[in-house]
Amino acid sequence: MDEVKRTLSAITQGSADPSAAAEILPIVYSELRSLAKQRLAAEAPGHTLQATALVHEAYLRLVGDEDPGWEGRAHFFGAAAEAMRRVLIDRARAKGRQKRGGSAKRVELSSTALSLHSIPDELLDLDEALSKFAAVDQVKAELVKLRFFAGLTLEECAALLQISPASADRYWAYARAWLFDAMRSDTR
Amino acid sequence: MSLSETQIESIFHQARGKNSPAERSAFIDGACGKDSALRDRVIALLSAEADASQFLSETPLHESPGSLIDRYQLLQQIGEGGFGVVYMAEQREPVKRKVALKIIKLGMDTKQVIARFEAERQALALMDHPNIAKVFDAGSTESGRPYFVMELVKGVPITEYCDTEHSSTEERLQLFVAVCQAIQHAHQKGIIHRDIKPSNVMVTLHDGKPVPKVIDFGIAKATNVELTQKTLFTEFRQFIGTPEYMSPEQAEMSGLDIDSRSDVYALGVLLYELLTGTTPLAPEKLRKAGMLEIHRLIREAETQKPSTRLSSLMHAGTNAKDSSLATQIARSRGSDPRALSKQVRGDLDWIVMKALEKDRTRRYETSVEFARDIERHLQHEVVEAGPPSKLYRCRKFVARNRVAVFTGSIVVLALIIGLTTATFGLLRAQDEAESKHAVADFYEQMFTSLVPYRVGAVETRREVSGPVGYADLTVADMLQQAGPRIGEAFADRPELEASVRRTFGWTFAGLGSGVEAVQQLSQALETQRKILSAEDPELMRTVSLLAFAIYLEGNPKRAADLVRPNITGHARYGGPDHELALDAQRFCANLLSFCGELEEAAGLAEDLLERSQRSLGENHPTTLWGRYLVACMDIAQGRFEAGIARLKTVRTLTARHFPNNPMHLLSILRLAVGMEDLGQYDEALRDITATIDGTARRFGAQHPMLWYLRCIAARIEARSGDPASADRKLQEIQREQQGKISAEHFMASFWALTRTEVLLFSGRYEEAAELAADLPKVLRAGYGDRGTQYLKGRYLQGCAVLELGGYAEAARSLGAVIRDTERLLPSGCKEMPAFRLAYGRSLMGLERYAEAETQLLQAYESGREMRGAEHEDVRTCASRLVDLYRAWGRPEKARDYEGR
Repeated sequence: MDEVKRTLSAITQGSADPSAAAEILPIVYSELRSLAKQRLAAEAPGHTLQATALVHEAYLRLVGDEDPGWEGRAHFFGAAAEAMRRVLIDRARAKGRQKRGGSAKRVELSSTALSLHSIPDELLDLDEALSKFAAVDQVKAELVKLRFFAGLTLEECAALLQISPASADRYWAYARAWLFDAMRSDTR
Repeated sequence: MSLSETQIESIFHQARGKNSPAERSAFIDGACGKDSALRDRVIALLSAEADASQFLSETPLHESPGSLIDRYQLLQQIGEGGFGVVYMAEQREPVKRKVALKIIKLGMDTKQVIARFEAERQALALMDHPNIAKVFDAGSTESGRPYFVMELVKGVPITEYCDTEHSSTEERLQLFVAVCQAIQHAHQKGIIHRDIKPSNVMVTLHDGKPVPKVIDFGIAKATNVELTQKTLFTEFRQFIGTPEYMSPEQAEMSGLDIDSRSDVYALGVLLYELLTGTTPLAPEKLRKAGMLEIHRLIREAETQKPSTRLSSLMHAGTNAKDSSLATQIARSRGSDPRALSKQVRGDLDWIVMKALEKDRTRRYETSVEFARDIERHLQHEVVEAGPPSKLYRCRKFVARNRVAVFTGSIVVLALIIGLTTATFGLLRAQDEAESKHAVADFYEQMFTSLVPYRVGAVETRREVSGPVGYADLTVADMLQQAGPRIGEAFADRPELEASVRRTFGWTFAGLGSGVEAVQQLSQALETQRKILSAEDPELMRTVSLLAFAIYLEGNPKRAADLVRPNITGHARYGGPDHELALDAQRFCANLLSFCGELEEAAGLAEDLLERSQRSLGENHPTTLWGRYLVACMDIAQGRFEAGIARLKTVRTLTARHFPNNPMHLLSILRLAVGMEDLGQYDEALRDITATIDGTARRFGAQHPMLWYLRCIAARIEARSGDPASADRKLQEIQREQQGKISAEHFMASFWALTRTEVLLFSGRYEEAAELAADLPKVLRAGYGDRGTQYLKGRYLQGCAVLELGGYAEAARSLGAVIRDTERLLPSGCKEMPAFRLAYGRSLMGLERYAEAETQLLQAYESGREMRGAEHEDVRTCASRLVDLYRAWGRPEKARDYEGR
């Protein structure tokens, strides 16, 4: 746990390369995964476990009350978004795809509804689309991950990605349209 | 076709900035020029953006207490679920009142939802029922979500209310009936609820009285997403949050119209939950299942009857959690698990199961029919639902007319059971319901017309006048009075007339009223012969019942002749080894063996044993019957050793597997007779006594079979050396039989046969001769003239004449007995040595020594073969041979038999 704090503070103080953020990924991932497991086991019927809530809980556990500074927090959530994505995709893969009929798909994923019960197909579709999109536009794909999997606001994302809020807004609009189009026109 | 992502994005953003679709379209045309691929891509992205309003977005609920939505101010949140959130809100105008405001969660096309609501608005406005919460209004919130405004119901879900209050099953049913009536009201206005579940059926208190209120009418339909093939799994999950209550047709996704019967189904689930605390499909199971599995479960999973569910919870055995759950469920119903399960068994099971039929055409048509059936149950009336019941309808009668039952007590109950069992077994499915009514009506009339008025106290019984006084009212009286009305009551329903007559006949038979039994069953058969083919299984069943009644009435021979065609009939109908065919064969063989028609009986018995061993297995009762009958034939035909060995096997096997089957007692009886014949009187007496005791215990001290057994016991006693005691016993039997059975009854003729034999043992030849004079005639009436019983009667008659010195007459009649026996029973019978001995003696008396020698030698040889040289009868025979040779003047031959 302390390793997370140390790494984050090193990044904040400039004594470590921002790429060091990648080092905390495995820790965040395993933390999220065990949290998810615990929460699912204790889950009351009818209650949905929000993915972003889990990320915030992981943050409190790994980083604690001590504010690692804006940069540190941003790096944490960068790692957390990736970790959450992996947790969800792992689960979705484990559940397996449902065979779906029809041609045009409708996509309903929203971050408030994103939960560990989210429909595997949609998550997997999204992940696929997101990988393709990352090949086309790395920054916008990163923005989507931060917002969607880690629950950061647009402003927070802008700061982390070092872009203007206005750009973040535009990026977001374009990314959404791109992904939505990719997912619904995916007729496999 | 490589498009520049930067170019696309740039055009995309600029186009987004345009205010009108026309402007936007013009801009795109200009920007893309002739590059149609670029143009298509931009348009696709723009359309994706327009459609993706919720996609990937954070959409916190903007509404919160204090928010104003149109003319409603939100006060506080009062509920939350898969659908969205419910607030208590205050309406400002036109009237100031508190309402419930339900905001549906995101993801639906709000416009369509509201349009659908508007379409039903008028119908919804027509609903005015105290148990329905009114829906006032619908609209869309600023965040674009649909909302509904409803009458504010301050209550708790019906299941929760009942459990908290520890409501009894009856109280629950009463509440539930009110729910059904509310739903019916809505159905009459053309509104289907579509989402009945406990959280939509609230209970509020009015002056301390629980009042159910059904909420959310019209909402399910407005928010309903067509569950067609196109629909995504998400929608299914999101909008149908409670598959437990979903009817198979709703799960079908076939686009089948949802109608009032879907609500009936959901009501059925609700009732199931009220009664058992569980839903037919466990929510945990559904939550784990995928969409297709959920559909499959709803459409196909067999529903456990409520009582079965309760007892399976109770008997979960090792699972302490489940059994304590059962206790908890029962406690919240003010009961214990066992009592609760019993309470639910029967009516309530059937009512619930009828509502939960997968095929909606088999459910209650309307919720009011559903409610009525529950009311019927509450009033102990016959419910609509239910299997083709056995005891059922008449149990109801019993519950409603406790006085009548008090009068007839156990006998009436037995009758009722008999009646319904026999009658309902034979109705054909097609018009079963209608027929059930007709028959039930008839029975009810039969009972009620005999009950002058309800009597509360014993004293009043004496004052009752009428055809039959209360105290004297017996079941037979009831049936006798109702019997003549059968024809009239079912004038145009011959199939029902026959079935009711059959029931009557069978019941008369059970009550020992053989004449009436035969009369009713004969009429039933006559009617059936007009409308059914001779090999119709129903007709054949009547035939076998009539045969049994005729047998009980004292005529095994006629019974055998009547039932014989059933063997081939059933075989043709159900295959040669069909159980009914084998059973008919068993019955027929048994009757024939009774009459002593050994040839046919032995053939049937051997065939039966072989077939039943093959098709039913060694330990099947029919197979054992086969063994038993083959053993009886062994003994009857003089193969004592084999017969006794077989009977012992049957006795052991029946004791182990079927101790209550009459076959067990019969095997002991036959063993006793076998032992008697071999001269082992002590063992025989012990066995026959055991049979008598067992029969009295199993069938009551009045059972006619006891006469038969006691006759045999007396005969053994006489043979073993105490004819005087035997005769006293026989006279006692005769006194008992007098007035109860006719002289032709086989019990009477068997008595006469036995007494003749005993009189001959006692040397009371004149009395024997007198009694024997009519013997062949009475024996022929019951046993026919082709079996050993009849032949033995003629033999005893001849013996009496012989002992009185009438050699010529004796020789004539005994000679005829021998000839008839040889002709009818070529495989022999155990009586033959005795017949020949008597015939030989009569020939000796006539000094026809050569003929006498033939008979005596044959008697001696066959007797020795059957019973051994040491047997008393064989030795008697030997000494007669000595007498013969001495009288004949051939002492050298006499010496051969001296001392044997």
